[in-house]
Amino acid sequence: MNCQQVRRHWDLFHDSEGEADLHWQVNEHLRQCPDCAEWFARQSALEETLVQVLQAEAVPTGAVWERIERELAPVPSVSRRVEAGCCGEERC
Amino acid sequence: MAARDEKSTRFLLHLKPLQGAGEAFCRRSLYETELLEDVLQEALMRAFRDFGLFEEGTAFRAWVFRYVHLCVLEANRRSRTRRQEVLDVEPAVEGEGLPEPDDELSQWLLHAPDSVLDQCEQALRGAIVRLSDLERGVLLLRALGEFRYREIADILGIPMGTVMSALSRARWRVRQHLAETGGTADAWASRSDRARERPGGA
Repeated sequence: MNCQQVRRHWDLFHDSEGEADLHWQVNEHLRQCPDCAEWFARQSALEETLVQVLQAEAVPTGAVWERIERELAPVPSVSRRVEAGCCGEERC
Repeated sequence: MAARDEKSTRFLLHLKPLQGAGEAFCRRSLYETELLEDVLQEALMRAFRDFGLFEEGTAFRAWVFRYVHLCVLEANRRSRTRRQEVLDVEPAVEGEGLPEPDDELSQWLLHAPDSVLDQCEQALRGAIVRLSDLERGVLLLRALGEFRYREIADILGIPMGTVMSALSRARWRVRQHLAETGGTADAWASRSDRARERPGGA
């Protein structure tokens, strides 16, 4: 593979996707071509930075999930509802 | 009643570790982020309704992201109609490789990532919103969901080859947009200098 062909496979290489043979060929090329090795390193560093920015906000917001969990939470059992009275209030 | 309780408990247990990524995926995918709660809730209620069809031992993560993705698509379609807004999405360019990164910008990204991370949020949001639905979905499923290409293909119901080309295009467009609007290398440099001047800065 020449430089252009190798660089077209950066996505697959970076994501560890595709055939093992492809990775072997890319690795062989990178071993012998410092320009491409540097190009691959830069692309990967940039991609990792962008992913870091995206993942930085992957923290659940309390209010959003409280509402969702309320909707999905197990319903009160029949016995608990009978104890509470037909309208849900105690001593109904 | 006990069956529903058990279903609910199991569903919430599966869901717990995915909350952060699921919410971030939904927020980043929506044209109108204020719809986040409603869209996420709708998606999860639908997933819960169908939870009986989910097979234990298979990937719940991919299964539930599919519901979120579909609800996001519906919401975005409604947003487009309501706003009558034509997003400036350029036609796909096939066979295009990644651009040569700007040398200086790359250097700042490599040597002062913290200051860059602080600054490129807005530009990144703009870049992502300009992607097509397919490109945005593939990019975010990979970055936030950390899904393999095969899983992304299953979630979106598209061939693996389409995942590969859409992901490559999406990455290219995001970088292009960042290079155009995220600031010049000089701007990054001054931001980085400011970061260094701050007490405890890089």
